[in-house]
Amino acid sequence: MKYYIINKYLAALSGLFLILFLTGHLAGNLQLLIPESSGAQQQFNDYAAFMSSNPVVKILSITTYVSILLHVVVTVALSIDSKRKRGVGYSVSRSPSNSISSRYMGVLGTVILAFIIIHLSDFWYKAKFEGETDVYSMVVNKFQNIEYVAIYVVAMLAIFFHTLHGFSSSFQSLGLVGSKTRRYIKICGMIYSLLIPLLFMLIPIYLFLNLHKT
Amino acid sequence: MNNSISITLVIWRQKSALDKGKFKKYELKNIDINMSFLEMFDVLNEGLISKGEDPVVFDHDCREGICGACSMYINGRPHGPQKGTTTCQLHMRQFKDGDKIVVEPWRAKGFPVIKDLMVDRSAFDRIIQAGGYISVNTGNAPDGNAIPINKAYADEAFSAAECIGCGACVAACKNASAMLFVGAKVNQLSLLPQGGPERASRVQNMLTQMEKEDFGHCTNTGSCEAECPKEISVDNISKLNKEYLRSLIKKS
Repeated sequence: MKYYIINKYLAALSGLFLILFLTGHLAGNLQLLIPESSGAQQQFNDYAAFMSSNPVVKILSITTYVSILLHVVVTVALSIDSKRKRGVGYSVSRSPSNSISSRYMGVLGTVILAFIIIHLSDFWYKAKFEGETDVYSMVVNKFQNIEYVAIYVVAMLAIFFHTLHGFSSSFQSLGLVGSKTRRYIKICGMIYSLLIPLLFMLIPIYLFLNLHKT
Repeated sequence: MNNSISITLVIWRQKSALDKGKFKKYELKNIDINMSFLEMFDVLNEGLISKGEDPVVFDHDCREGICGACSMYINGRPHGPQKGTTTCQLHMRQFKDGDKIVVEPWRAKGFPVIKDLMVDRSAFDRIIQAGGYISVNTGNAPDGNAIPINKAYADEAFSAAECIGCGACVAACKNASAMLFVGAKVNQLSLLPQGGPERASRVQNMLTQMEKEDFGHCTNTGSCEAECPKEISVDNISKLNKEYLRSLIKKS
């Protein structure tokens, strides 16, 4: 493993792009919170059709897939590499750290990756390859199932902890943090990692409780 | 007031680099709490020598917290429980009567154990040799005030230069990364005009050497900063990352 820093740049850049992607994805998904009586089904299906046909969205989605792939490959390679750097382990180890999440990024990332696979095979695959056009009903029906809602809640918790470290860590890896800016980037990271997964989590719970029908 | 304590030491004993090594338990009674941690080790070793046993080998030199030679991993933390302190400046008053203290050597691929608690830290010397220098013309010493230096940069360079190269950052890091050390050593020179000419090659050469010496990458966990006896900031790692990017674009 040569050139750690270049690998860290790649992990940071792809991570930051995925952070942007999540923001956009959330903005679209929040349309599911519109009550059914106000034409949510029509609006969401129109939105889904737009997303699958617009060329700009196409470029963005390819960038997203490339980012996920790059992020996984680079971080897995780095983690495997760092596993053998200690040699003999300590019998007692209790050094404090800035972020507890940073010690479990690999586990959290694996949970997120597993979730992405489930998520894509359930929605994206059906819409793209099985010709499902009523995406709205597909989503709403899926979330009548409590286990499915639970998977989403767990995945969002993993994203919370992953971005809690990942957000500020990306800026650090790119050398964009100084003594004056450190605090603000950390606060921005905290706001992001709390707000985005929480709002994402709200959607399946909202649909499960049938609040969209009221 | 009682000024002495009894402790149980659990120390890593390893005869040589090839030996597998194991922990050994030692009971010490009547240890003066005003002793430094190393003085307590001296007492232990005097006892071992008088009994005809092999004393515990450990690194030490100045014993005043400025040389960076002492290097014990005490109860799961490099240089022990006190913040901003080297092992030699750690005193027994930090411990309570009856405490069990586990002492291990630095653990890293880049720091192989020589014997007991002594590790080979020459990897750091080779990183410095790779680029941690400036080129100066021979002749009379130049006038120290002839080169104007921004106060903010001078202060920052001075803070980075406080690094004593003890290796606690590597010992504390979950990846055994030497990024804090390399960051401090690159920045103390690159922030100043004297470090200008070799600026690009310095960061590249030192990082290449760091990887050659088998230190890991940085996951921005921040344990290094928390354990550094000189409290070197992780800002130095951020700056090192930027410095490397700069070196890819600008050649000097």
